Amino acid sequence: MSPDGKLYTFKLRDDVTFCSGKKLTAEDVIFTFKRLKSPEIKGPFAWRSGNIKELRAPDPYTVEYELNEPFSELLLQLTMFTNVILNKDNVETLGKDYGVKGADGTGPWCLDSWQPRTHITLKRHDAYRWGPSMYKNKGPVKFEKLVIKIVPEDSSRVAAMMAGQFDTTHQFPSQFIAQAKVAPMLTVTQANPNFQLLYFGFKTTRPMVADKRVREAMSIAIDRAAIAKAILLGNADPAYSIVDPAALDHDPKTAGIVKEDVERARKLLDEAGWKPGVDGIREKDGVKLAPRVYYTANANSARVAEAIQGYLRKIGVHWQLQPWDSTIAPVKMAEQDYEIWSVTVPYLSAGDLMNLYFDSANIPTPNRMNWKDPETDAWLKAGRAALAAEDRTRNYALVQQKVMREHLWIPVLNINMHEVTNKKLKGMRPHMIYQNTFYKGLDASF
Amino acid sequence: MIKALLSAALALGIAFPAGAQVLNMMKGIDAPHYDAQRTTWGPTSDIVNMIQDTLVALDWAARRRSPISPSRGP
Repeated sequence: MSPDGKLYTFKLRDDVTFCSGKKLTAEDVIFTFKRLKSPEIKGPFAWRSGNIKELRAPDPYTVEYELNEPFSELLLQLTMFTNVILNKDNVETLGKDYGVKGADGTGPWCLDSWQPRTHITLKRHDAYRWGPSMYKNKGPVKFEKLVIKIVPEDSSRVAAMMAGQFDTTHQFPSQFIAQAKVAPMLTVTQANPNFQLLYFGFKTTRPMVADKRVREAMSIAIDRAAIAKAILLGNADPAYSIVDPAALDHDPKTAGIVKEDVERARKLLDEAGWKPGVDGIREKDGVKLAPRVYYTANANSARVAEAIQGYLRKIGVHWQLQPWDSTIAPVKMAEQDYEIWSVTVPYLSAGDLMNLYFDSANIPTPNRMNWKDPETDAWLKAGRAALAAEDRTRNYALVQQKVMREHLWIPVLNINMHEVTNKKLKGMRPHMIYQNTFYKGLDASF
Repeated sequence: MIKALLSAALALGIAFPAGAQVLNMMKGIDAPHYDAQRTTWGPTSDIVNMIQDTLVALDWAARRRSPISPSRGP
């Protein structure tokens, strides 16, 4: 990296090939990021590759990656799947069918066939020798094929693993993890660290939740530890901060901002002018304190939302729960006809989470709070542009303190990520990145 | 209940030649496509991480590692 933080020089290995046999060169890297930034693609995660000014290839195995402004998390963000390197020729040949009829890559597995909603078959990339250094096996993988079957029903995946029909899954329902742990044929491993937050966010432009006292009351009237134990059966940790304490740039000063206290919650609502009605639900100016809550109807969110609804009843708040099937949830979320919504978000660092959700440039999505605050924006900008780690940390700490003191989110649980495998399968260690616990699978073997 | 679940599981079996080194995995939901640049969708990301590489990789402790750009290795 250059002293001004704008120029990164990547020296590429000269022995990397795509599954097709073509050598990876700087031309592919440059093509990849130009495509990502192109208006035709409209890459929703294109920001993760920074504000690129120019990409140059002084030779076939060197890429000069020049930014318009420094981006302190560039190298971290380049680990995300949206920044995988594409085969220029393959993308140009397939055109609009790229990613549907084929996708050539330099990964340890090659796309062999795909039957949508049924199964995907990958085959070994025999030439692969460039596995990340944390794997003992740098490649190739120890299997000829990897068959990934789509099994939508939670109970069917549980039964299939119990019956030894499959070797592994990274999508084993949390409520059955305890059974899997004692099943003689199964091994359960957990990603550590594990940055995956289940939260409820407030749309601050809606009058009902515009007052931060109301938001704080809802946040402190619940019992996170009890929810983690009773609903996730211990497969989650209570979250009292937005950013996990183990994550890069977590601010320890955010500890204590969320302090569960039901009596204080009632007092805050009284102060905010919401008085109990005849049915116990608080009212103000003839309006019931009954926010509409949107979430995807998966097992965790639904059950956690129902539990919170129960807690909030005790302080005179009625959550109107509106679960949506995963097929239409994105559309309904986009309509934003709610006071509160919930998602579970995996993330890499404090900067990752703060920039994504709290920058006013990201209104209305993913900044569904519609949080527009010049101070927040300025600290985020300073954090992104920081050339020294301590400057980045300090600015992201200020953002964390502000958004937590404003109680823009109710952080509820850090959901554990598991890999459940048949005992005959060895060498599996779950990764935490974006819920992709299998990641490359290089050390897996029977 | 358990019997019914096990019967359902048996119906999910995939036939491959005995002895073939095949790893059988399950996931809950498929993706509409496997073009990583056009989505934020998790069910795309896991497959993409298997078939393609990034310039910089992340290890289990969320530290950066290097698959195809050795200049960025630890």
